Amino acid sequence: MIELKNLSYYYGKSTVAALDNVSARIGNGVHLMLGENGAGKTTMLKCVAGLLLPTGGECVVDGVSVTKRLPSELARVFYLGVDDGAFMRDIDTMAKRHAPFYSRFDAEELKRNLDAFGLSSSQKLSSMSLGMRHKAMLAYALSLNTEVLLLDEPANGLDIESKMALLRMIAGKCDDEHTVLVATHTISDMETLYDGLIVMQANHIRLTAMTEEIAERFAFVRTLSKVDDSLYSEWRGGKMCSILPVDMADELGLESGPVDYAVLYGALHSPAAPEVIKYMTGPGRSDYKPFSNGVDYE
Amino acid sequence: MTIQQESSRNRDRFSWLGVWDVTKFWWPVLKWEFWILLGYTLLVSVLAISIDTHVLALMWSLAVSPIAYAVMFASSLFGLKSMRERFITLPALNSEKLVFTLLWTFVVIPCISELIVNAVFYLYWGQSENEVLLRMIEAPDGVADMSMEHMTVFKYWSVAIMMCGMMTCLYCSTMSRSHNIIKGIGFSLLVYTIPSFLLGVLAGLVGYSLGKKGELTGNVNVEEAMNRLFDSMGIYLGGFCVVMLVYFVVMLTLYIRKFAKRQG
Repeated sequence: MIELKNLSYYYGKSTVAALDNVSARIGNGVHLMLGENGAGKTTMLKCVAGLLLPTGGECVVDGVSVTKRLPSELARVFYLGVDDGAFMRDIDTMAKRHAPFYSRFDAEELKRNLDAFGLSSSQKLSSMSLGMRHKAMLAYALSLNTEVLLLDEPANGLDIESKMALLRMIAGKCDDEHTVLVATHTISDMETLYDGLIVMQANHIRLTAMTEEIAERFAFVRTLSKVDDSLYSEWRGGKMCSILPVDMADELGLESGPVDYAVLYGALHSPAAPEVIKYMTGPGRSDYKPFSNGVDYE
Repeated sequence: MTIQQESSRNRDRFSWLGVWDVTKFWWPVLKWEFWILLGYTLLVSVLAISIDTHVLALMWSLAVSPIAYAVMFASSLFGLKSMRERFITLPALNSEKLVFTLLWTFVVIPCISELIVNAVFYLYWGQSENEVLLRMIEAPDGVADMSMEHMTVFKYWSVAIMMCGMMTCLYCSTMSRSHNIIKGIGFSLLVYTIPSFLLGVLAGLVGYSLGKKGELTGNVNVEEAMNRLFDSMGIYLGGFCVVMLVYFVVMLTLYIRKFAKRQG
């Protein structure tokens, strides 16, 4: 469980917050982080990883603040950034020099992951292409088996086969022990995987929700023409994809498909966003507490 | 199957084993500077005993200056972006990381050069580097002898500016958030050269003042004139050393205080 308590972060002497009084509780599972460029996704991930120390508030992982940077805490979290190059000659060297700090590192899993990506642990990372290096780092990050894994644009630059392999690897982490945060713009790559959603906007967390909660609230329907009174619609793959409240879909006799994060992302970045959020955080939800800079969207 | 590698050691408590683990983490990057410095120092030392002593006296400063710069800039590698970020989140105590960086910068790297040079000189001449050099620069005619006392003062002076340069490089490489290596090397060069430049200007002024008083002319020979100049400079050198020491202590304190709060 990751808890962000009034987390704020300012870069250097900047007066503009990169994270502004953010609070959230993120449970186990694979969570999708959405937000436009500069929304604060990477800053938040870095704060959770202990790489950045919050200017205000704190970040707690399983009850212990990561700002203390205790080895036992740091060993539970691993952050892989979008531009994180290899920091050693090859994966073998990393496994020998860096992995021993992580008690749950699984050498066999590393080999499996690398095989899935068609890579070898002894290959020199500097001789690899950017995409290959990224795959090697992903394979390594996943084999560390940290309780919290923070991935910034993990599918960036990956070919289709590698994306499928990554999907399978992350799916293997879908249990009660792991929390995986995936910040990405390419939602459709791993759409089936997400247990929850975190939407960031203008340095705040605008919304956090579990996939079931979204499914309870919204119907995602695909029709040939626009559905009247839908909250949001967009053309996708030759069909009109609409989001509408579940009860309204029932009344219209429309069958809802699985949660379509790509359409939801579009909705949250459209003029319909306040309405969608209102439905998400409205009354009737029992176990979900909305957070957004202390502002309740109800 | 997860391989449980956790030893019984509590990583949240300081241990020298933890410092050793941090060293092993950095070794793939730092081994290059270690072996290059070791190899070059050994080469220069062996060459020193195999060439004519007069040539050595003239060439020695030139030959050892790369070693001095290598020692001063050794910690700049701590500024490598990818390693630096991993180092911050490396599951080891900040105190273990801090001790490692200080030991590497101020003990391991300087010791390589000092120990090798002095060991080779002792084995061959039975004297330290300072003593050998002093003996060698006595020889040319018309050139003033430098006393062991003056040599020692200059040695302290060079150690003081070197330590300040090393500390500056370590601080900038570790604490800066961008262009760490450039800042580390740039600022340490400034710290290294500015006092030397000021000392040069001061020596000129002191020499001019002594000359005006007539203390360097008349029956005074070159050796005596040099000794008078060195004697007059002693107080300034001492003052400079004190200033450098204060600078070093302030920078070291800042480094220790800020180390745990550095950011990626």
